[in-house]
Amino acid sequence: MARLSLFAYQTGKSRLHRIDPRCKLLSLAAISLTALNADPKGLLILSLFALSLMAGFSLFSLGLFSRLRFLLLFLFMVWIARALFTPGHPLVSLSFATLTREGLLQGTMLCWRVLLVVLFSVVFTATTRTAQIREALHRLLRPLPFLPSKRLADMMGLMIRFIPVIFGRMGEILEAQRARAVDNRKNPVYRMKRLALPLLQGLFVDAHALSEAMEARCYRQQATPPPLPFGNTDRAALIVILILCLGCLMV
Amino acid sequence: MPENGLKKMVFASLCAALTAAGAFIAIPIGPVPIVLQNFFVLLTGLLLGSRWGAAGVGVYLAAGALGLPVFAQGTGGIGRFLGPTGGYLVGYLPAVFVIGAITERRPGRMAVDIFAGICGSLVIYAFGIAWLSWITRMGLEKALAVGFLPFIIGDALKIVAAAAAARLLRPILGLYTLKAPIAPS
Amino acid sequence: MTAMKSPLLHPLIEIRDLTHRFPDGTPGLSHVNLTFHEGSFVVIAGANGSGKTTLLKHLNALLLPTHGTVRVDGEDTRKNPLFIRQKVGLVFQNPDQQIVGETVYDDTAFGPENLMLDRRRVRERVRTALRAVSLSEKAEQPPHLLSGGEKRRLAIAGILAMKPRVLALDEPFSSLDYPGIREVLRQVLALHRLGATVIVTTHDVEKIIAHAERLVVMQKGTVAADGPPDQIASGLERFGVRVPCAFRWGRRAESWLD
Ligand SMILES: Nc1ncnc2c1ncn2[C@@H]1O[C@H](COP(=O)(O)OP(=O)(O)O)[C@@H](O)[C@H]1O
Ligand SMILES: [Mg+2]
Repeated sequence: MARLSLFAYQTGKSRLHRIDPRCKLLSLAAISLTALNADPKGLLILSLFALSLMAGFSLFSLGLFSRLRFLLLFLFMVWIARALFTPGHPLVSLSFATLTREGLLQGTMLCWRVLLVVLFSVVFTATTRTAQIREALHRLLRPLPFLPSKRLADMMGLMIRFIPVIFGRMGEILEAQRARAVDNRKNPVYRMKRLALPLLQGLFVDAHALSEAMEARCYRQQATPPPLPFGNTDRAALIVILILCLGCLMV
Repeated sequence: MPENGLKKMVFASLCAALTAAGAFIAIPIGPVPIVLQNFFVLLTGLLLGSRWGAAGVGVYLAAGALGLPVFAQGTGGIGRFLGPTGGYLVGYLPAVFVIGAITERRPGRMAVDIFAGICGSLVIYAFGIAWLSWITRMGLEKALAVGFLPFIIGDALKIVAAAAAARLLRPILGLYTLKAPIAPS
Repeated sequence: MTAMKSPLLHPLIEIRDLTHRFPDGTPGLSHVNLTFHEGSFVVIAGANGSGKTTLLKHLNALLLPTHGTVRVDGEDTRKNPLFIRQKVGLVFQNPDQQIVGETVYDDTAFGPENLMLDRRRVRERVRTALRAVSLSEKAEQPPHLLSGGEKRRLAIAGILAMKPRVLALDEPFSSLDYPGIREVLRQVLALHRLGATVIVTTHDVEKIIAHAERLVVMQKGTVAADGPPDQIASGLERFGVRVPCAFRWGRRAESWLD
């Protein structure tokens, strides 16, 4: 988890950190929808907004780029593929495909949109604790009938709880096996078996014990709801974002 | 909460966490590293059945959509669903349901589990390939060549491994009454 | 601080002919008869696999009897598990497996939140519980950064926040170092002085025997001995439990706290 959370959340007390997570989550949804539908002018405004947010709250870091490395590579491939395989005005003809103006344009737009959505979700996760994301989810989904919002939120919390346990146990088992020279065995199937099976067994025993501990502490579907004051700042921020989104869609 | 509901909920969350961890761990066997994400999706369906399996995978996908870094190489965000591999992610949900539904009929039979794994994998690839060929505008043939053929052998291994692991883990889950190998003291 | 113990022997937990068989056929307990009184301090000793954990899980309805009955405050555990679990707080052996919250505060609040108390009462309960185990300063820390002894105390706080009448601790000293044991022991004794009924299981009675009022010895799922510690402790070896040093030399047991 150390690795996971280092990438995700950056501790801080900035204004962005303090905004209600529900407000941030709704804003993210609105911005994502806008980014997928806006024209180039709107995208430009959103991009400037994203960059100024990231600069203003110093969210540019080395971790960010190594995290996005693979996505950027994928997007580059999508861009090339789109450029080559979309029918339209030919710019350059290759033996197996043609580079077209429409293709270039479409590819660029698609990649731009996806990248924007990704950048905004980076801003969101960098400034929101996972516990807050969980609570926001719980509160936002609560009005919907037939959807067990507390259970969903609780499961997400449990999932986040288990990730470091998995890596921790894996480290322990690897160490114990190194001590018993399992390393020397070349057969990868044998080594996988000796690592994976005890790991999984131990984890499911852990999970069973946890469920009993939760039961002993009276776990229920209903519980005291998390405290999330939705203040005036939050309301104002949400309104500003919505206006910005509408603006981006109109221009 | 219904009988065993809490237990299954915790197990489903563990499966979601394993899927997230599996997206991180790449095993360098051969030239193409094996990612364990879909292995854990298969295992989730085999262990938890259709309903709770879908809940586990659903939570995993929701966490990713909300931006938690649980997808391959520690990325996350709704953007991942729109990327070229988004179809595979979306496909996990119907796949785990199909696997669970098949294995629920005949719990604890290795051959049934393997059949379920094959069906589930086909569902994942159906979604994955369709989306890949649409978003990149490459033809179906090309998409199959890039997004399916290279993975067949690896996936066959994963299906067998998942069925074997499920056989070992079921007694611990206590969802089927077999002799328990581990007694938590 | 010793005043609150009730002189009336109110039978808080009554176990009658309790037999438990696990779904796979393993016999867990057979024909156990025990009564625990309000305000008492009971140590349940026994070798690994003798059924101590299985017995504790029956006290708060995590397991139900195959035969026989378990009553808490007059109520059958089969009838109303939620009621029973508020009365009997069970702290499990491995504190790592019990952590549910992302901070010490959140973890302690888990129980009272499930009891649907309002925010303010939850906060009061958490504060009181954390103070009782001296973890108030660490309220905002993530639990996995705590030491072994602190984690164990956090697990106890999570139970205390539900205000149970009985505090049942399963092997509370296992895998703790000497200071850790003393920390936990001191807190548990303080809680007992304030009136809590305490039931502690252990495979090593040395650490706690000096404070016990009653020793119950388990063997193969049955009660093998039951009585005041100084009368039965010297015969423990027969049941696979190490005899405390003091009893070997015919002296009184000494507290680990002095
Ligand atoms: N879930 C279970 N299924 C089957 N057997 C079990 C289970 N839990 C415990 N047992 C068995 O019951 C016996 C008593 O176990 P336990 O109460 O944990 O002993 P102790 O806590 O005294 O070490 C042991 O033989 C153990 O193997
Ligand atoms: Mg035990």
